[in-house]
Amino acid sequence: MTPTPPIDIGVSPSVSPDPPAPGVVVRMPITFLGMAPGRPGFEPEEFIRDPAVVRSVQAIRAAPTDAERTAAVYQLMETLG
Amino acid sequence: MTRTELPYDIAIVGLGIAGVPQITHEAEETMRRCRHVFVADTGNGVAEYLRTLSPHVVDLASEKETGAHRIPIYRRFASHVVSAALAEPPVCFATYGHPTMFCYPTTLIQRSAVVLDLKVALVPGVSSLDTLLCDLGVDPGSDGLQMYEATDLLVRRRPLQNDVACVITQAPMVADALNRPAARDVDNLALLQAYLLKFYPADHEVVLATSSPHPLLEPLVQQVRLGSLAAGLVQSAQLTTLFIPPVARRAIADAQLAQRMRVAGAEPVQAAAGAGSAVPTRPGRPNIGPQQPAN
Repeated sequence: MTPTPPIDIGVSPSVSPDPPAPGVVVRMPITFLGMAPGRPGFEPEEFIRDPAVVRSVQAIRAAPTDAERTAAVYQLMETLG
Repeated sequence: MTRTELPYDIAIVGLGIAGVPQITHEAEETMRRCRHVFVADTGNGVAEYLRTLSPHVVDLASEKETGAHRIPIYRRFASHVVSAALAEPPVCFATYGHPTMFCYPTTLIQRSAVVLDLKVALVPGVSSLDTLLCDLGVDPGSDGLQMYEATDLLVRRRPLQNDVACVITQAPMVADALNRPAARDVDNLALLQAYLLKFYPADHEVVLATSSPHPLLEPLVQQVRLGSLAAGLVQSAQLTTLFIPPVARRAIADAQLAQRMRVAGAEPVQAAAGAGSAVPTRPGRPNIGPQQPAN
């Protein structure tokens, strides 16, 4: 794999309000059988205002290597469920 | 359409239950078109087969650390896929079974795609429910079907309808947050048994079914009484599914509507009189027709 190309991955407020793959599952409560610390639900427009999410996305965009980008994506996953 | 013009950044495909023969043409074609394929399927020869479709296959099995909590494992799966999709789309996440049937990495990938403006396509696969219905010869059209994940059933105290067939998935690892494929916690299994006994009698026969993971193997189907469920599950495979037949069939509540659905001219079957003397026979089995009285 190559280093992260200069692409716009859409941090607030440029992110589309519509999910790219609309589905019931993405809006379900962010928990898995109560194992993951949950939010009451996943509303993309609220979610992207969360400072932790913004930091994760900034880290993803700035990552110079595959390994660092994957680690930054993992940070984002910790907020997703 | 060229590879870079594909309408998605991440394709999520299901690989089926029984290994390579159950991979659909649609899933294969999708994997061929992606730059990287990440596979979460420990079936015999599956990862090797996928390497014939794509030059860049990553087997995620090494991320499944035994004894670790399941959630971080699923997050790592999803992180690898999304990270690769940001660098070199399109990529594919190929998972055992069906991609939205008890597959949490798929959920995480879809949620992160919303935030990161990645486009996702889902390609169905043969699910454990599909194979279960074939293994047991069950058609949900007769009495309906309710389906719950075992831990979810307990933590939410979901009500069950005992006149509707019931599928409980992941029963052998109920209430276990860790990735421990071979471990069975008798206390947890007893919790599941006790909860089900609130809805079903202890002597109700239930089925522990494990679909074949390979074309050369038969499915495992074992009947146990619900009162002995925990003991039965202790011996079961990780992928065993619990099937609970209805206790009784629900009576028709709207006879007028039911009558309307009958085929025209249908009358109750009458015993044939004088239909001829030749009784149709079946070698080694009872003849077709009225049973002869015993002498």
